[in-house]
Amino acid sequence: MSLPDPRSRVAATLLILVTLGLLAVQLVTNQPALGGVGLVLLLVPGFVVSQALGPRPLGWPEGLLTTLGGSLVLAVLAGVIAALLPHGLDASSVAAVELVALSAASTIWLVRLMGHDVTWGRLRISVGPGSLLLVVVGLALGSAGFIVAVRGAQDQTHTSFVQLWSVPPTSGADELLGVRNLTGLAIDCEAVIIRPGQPEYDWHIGAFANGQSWLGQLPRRDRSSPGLWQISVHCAAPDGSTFDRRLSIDPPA
Amino acid sequence: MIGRQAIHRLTTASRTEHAHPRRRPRVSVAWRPVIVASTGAGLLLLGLADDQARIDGPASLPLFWAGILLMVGPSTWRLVSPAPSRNERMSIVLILGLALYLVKVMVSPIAFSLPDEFTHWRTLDDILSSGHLFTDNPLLPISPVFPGLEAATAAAKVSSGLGIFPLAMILMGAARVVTMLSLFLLAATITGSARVAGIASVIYMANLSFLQFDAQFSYESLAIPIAFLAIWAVLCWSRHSGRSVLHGGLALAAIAATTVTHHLTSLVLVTFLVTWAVLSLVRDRGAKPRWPIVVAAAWAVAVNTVWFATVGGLAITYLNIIVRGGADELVAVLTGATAAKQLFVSAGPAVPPPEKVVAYASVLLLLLALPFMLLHAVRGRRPPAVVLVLGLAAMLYPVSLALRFTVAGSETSQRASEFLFVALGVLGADWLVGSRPSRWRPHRRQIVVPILLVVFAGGLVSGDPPQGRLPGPYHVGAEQRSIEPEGVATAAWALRELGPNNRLIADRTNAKLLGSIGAQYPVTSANQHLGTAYVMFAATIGRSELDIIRRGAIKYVVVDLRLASDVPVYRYYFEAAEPDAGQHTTPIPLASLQKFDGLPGVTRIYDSGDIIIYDVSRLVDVTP
Repeated sequence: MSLPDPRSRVAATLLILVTLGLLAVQLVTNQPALGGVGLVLLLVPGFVVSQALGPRPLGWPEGLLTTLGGSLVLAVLAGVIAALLPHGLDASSVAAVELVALSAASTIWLVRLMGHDVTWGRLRISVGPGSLLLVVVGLALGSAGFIVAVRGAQDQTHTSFVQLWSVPPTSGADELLGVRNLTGLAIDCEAVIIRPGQPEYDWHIGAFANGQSWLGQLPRRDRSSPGLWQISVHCAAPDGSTFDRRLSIDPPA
Repeated sequence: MIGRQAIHRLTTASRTEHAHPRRRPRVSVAWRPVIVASTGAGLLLLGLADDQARIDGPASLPLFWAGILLMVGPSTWRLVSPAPSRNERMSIVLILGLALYLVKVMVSPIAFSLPDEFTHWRTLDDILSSGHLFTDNPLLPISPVFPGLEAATAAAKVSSGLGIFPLAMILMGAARVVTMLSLFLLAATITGSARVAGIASVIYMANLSFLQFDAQFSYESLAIPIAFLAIWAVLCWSRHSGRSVLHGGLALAAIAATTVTHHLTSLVLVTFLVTWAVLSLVRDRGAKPRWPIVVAAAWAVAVNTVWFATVGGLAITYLNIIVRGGADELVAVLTGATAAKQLFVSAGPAVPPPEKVVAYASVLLLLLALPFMLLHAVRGRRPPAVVLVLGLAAMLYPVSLALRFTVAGSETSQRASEFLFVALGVLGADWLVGSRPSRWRPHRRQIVVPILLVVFAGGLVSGDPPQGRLPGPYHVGAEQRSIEPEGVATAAWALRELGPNNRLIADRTNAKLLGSIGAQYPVTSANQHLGTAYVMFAATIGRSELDIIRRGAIKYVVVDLRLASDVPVYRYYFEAAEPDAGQHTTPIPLASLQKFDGLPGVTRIYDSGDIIIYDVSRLVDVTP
C-alpha cells in the first residue's frame, strides 16, 4: 500500500477545517458565513464521506462521482431535514445538519489518515504546447459564444413600455397614481382625469428618465359625485414615439 | 492519414499510460485538446445561432446544427475508436455532457425562461420565506410535496448568499456532471468496457429530454442523476460483496434523496430495484452476494411507502391522471375512436423537412437495432440480472413511441425516454462495440458514427421544435417564447403594489410569472377545480362566469391583449381544460378580452400597454 501524499493530505485537511469553521460561524450567527465559498458545500461533504468510507483509492471518475454526487445527496437531505425541524430552514439549521454529517465523516477520515489507511493517487498530466494552445483556443471560443449569448439576452430584455397604475389605498390614505418609465428613453407625460360631476382634471406629470417611477397623489373625490374616474395618461419620447395608457378607478371620498 | 499524423504530433506530449509501467502513471491528453477546441467552436456557433434567433434571422437553424455537429461529431468519432483510454473516454463524455448543458443555458443565460423553472422558483421562494416545507404552490400543487430540489437550493442559498438564478445554474450543472459520470460508470461496470460506456453515454444523450427539459431548474432534473447514482452505488456495493460502506451508504442515501425529490423518478427507481432484486434472486445464484440489491430494493420500497403515505399521496392521483389519460387515448386511437395526433404539427414555425426525416430515421434505426441488441444481450452467456432488467426496459421503447400519437400521452412518452434510453444506450453500445462478437452489427467506424449522429440529432428534433431550442421574439402561448420583459415587470409590480397571494385569473404565461415572481395565486382547474378559463373566453359575464369568480374568490383578472393576435403555439392560452384546447383555428376574440371594461363593479387598475389588470372583487357584489 503506497504512502499518503503529504501535500494533498495537508491541503485537504485545511479545506475541511476551514469548511467546518465557517459552518460553525454560520451556525452561531445565522448568516451565510460561507459566501460564494458556500459552493464548497457542493464538494467538501461528498469528498470527506468518500475518503472516510471508501474501500480503496478511487479512480478520478469514481472519486468525482462520489464527491459531487454525495454532496448533492447530502444537500438534498440536509435541506429537507433542516426544513422539517421546528426551527425551520435557515443558515443556522442548515449549518447544524451539515456540521453533524461533516464532523462525523471528518473524524473517520482523520482516523484512517492517521493509520495510513488512505492513499492518494497522484495524477501527472503531460501537456504539450500544442495541446495547451488547443485547450486555450477551445475555452476562448466557448467563452466568446457564451458572451455573445449573454449580450443577445441582455439586448432582448430591453424594454419599451410604460406602466400606469392606481391601487386602492389602505384605510385613511390618499390614492396614488403611479407611472413607471421602462421605454429606454426619457419621456414626458400628461394625465387627464375625467370625474363624473366634477371638472376635468389636467395634470402635467413631467419628464422622467428611463427606469424612474413617478407617484402622484390623486385629488380627493367629492362625496356628492360618485362614479368611476377615467384616467388617461399620454407620454411622449424625444424620438416621436408615444405611449397612451388608461385606468378606471373608484377613489375614496 | 496526414491530418491524423499532424494532430498527433501537435498534441501528443507523452506516450500513453502503459508505456513505462514502472513509472508513476502519466496521462496522455492527445485528443482531448482537439475535442475541447471543437466543442468551444461549437459553442461559439451556438451563441451566434441564439443571437440570430432573437431577431428571427434565417441563419439561426443552420448555425445551430453546425454548432451541434462540431460538438458531437468529433467526440463521437473519438469514442467509437478503440484507441482511447478509459480516462480519455470519461473526459470526452464529461466535456460533451457539460457543453450540451451550456447549450440550454445560453438560450437564456441571465434569467429563468422555461415555465417549469418558474414553478419550482415559487416553491423555493416559499421555503425560503417560511423556512418550512409543504407550502401551497398554485402553479404545480405536487411540487411542494417533493421538495428535494428546492430544499437543496435553499440550503445552498442560505449558506452562500448567492442569487437564486446563478445557484440554480450551478446546481443543474453539477447534476449534469453526476448524470454523465454515473451513467458512464454504470455502463462500464455492467459491460466491463469503457468503450461501450462512452457510446452508451452518447446514445443516452439522444433522449428527447436531454437538451432542454432535463437541464432546466426542475425537480426531475435533479432526481434523475441521483437515481442513476443510486443504481451505480448498488451495483458497486454488490460487486464488493456488500463490504463497501461508501457504496452502501451512498446507495441508501441516494434512494432516500430521490424519493423526496421527484415522484416519477422515484417510482421508476423502485421498480428497477425490485425487478433487479427479484431477477437476481432467481438468476444470479452462486454469483456475488445479492443481499445488497435486496436491501436497496427493500429500502426503496419502505422509503417510498412512507413518503407517499404521509405526504406524497397527491402524486398518485397526479400520475394516475397523466398515465391513464395517455393510455385511454392510445386505446381510442388504436380502435379508431379518435384520430391519431399528427406529429411535428403546431401553430408555431414548421419543423423543416430535413429535421423530420432525421427524426424518423432516428426512431427507425433504434427500432431496427432493438431486436439485435436484445439478442446480443442474452446470447452466448447467462446474462446477469441487471442486464435482464435493462432488456425489459428496452422492450418498452416501442410502447413509448405509440404514446406519441396521442395528445395526453405525448409528455409521458417524452418522460419515458429519460429512463428507457439508459437501457437502449447500454445494450445498444454493447451490441455495437462490445467485446463479445456479433454477426449483425456494423463494424466500420464510418458507419457507426453517422448512425449515432442521426440517432442523436433525431432525439434532439423530437424533443424540442425549433422555437423550443432557440430564443426568439414573442409568440402567443409559446412557453419560453412568451416570457418577456413586460410580463416580468407586471409580475414584479403585482408583488410590490398588491402584496402576495391575491387570487387572480391569467393566461398560462402571465400565470407562471405572477405565481412566481409576483407570488400571486392564479386560480385554475388544476389547483381549485374551477374552469376559470371559461370566464376569459365568454363574450359577456353571465351567471356561470360570476359563479366561477365568486367560488374562486377571484380578486383580479389579468388580460394580455396579445392573445388576440394569434392562436397559441402550444395548444392552449390558459390551461389544457379550456374550450377548444389544441383546436384553436382563430385567435381568442379581442372583445372577449376587453369585456371587463366598463362593467359595473370592475375597476381597471393597471395598464402597461399589452397587459391590463382589472379589480373584480366587487363584481359579484354589484351584479344582480
